[in-house]
Amino acid sequence: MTEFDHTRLDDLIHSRIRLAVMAVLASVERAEFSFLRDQVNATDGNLGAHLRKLEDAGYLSAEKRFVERKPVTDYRLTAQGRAAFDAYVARLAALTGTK
Amino acid sequence: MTQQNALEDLAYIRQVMEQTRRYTAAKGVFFVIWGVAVSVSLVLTWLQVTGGVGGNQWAIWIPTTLVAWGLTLYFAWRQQRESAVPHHAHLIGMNWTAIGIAMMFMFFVGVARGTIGYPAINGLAALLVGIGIFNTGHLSGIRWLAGVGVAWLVCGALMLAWPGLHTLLLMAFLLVIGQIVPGLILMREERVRRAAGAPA
Repeated sequence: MTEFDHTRLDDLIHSRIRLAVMAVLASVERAEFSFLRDQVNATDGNLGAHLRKLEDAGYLSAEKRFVERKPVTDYRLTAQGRAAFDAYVARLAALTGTK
Repeated sequence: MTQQNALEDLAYIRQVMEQTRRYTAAKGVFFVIWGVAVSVSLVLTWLQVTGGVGGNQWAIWIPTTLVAWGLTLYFAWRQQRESAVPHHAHLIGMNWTAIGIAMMFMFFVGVARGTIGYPAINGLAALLVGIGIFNTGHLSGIRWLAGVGVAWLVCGALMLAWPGLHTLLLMAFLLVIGQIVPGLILMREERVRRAAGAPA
């Protein structure tokens, strides 16, 4: 089995909520803030802070729109974010010796 | 972080992705719209051909097709306003749009111009429906739906092998059990998910 070294993992993704956000966004074209909140079981404030970190890193993009006159924010993975997530999962699998 | 934590993280990622994929599966409403529109048209056409109802076949097909397209566009627009759009929703939409256009050409050009004869139309239509349902089931990860698609392909081949007027009624029956019923099952599953607190 490969020697386990957690320092080879992307620190930005390596937080439970950010990891969950990236996994959800990897499965969809786009998702609203409320969808992400319900999927990862986080509070609005906590999720907002994590989303900002990922957005600042260029891993996801945000777009505001109106649905029935209410503002909603859509999030989607950027190409950089998808590559980082794929690399994270691949590294995790390699480190643990799984596929 | 230990190796055990890493293994748990991997399992967690898979679980989250699978859960998201399931929440946003195929939409049954489109199955129901087209299943009802086409099966009603087929029965009316059969009655017309066998002498039960007078009038022109285009007077049946043009209104039902226009209503079905109108409802399709409305629900497609509503789908765009949902809180999340999965990757496969776009592929499924394109799949059915292409099949819908092919059906329109087959019927309004092929049949109207006499290129495609009446004996072949139901068999060919069943094959196209089979392709659409199989792709939808496969892309959504719903195995039983992919199986329904395979059954449609077999029925399409049988209708091409044994054509005739009876295929109008057979096709209408197949639309009820192979498209409307699966559509209603998908709609019920979606309602159950939403009632359980899953996001729209």
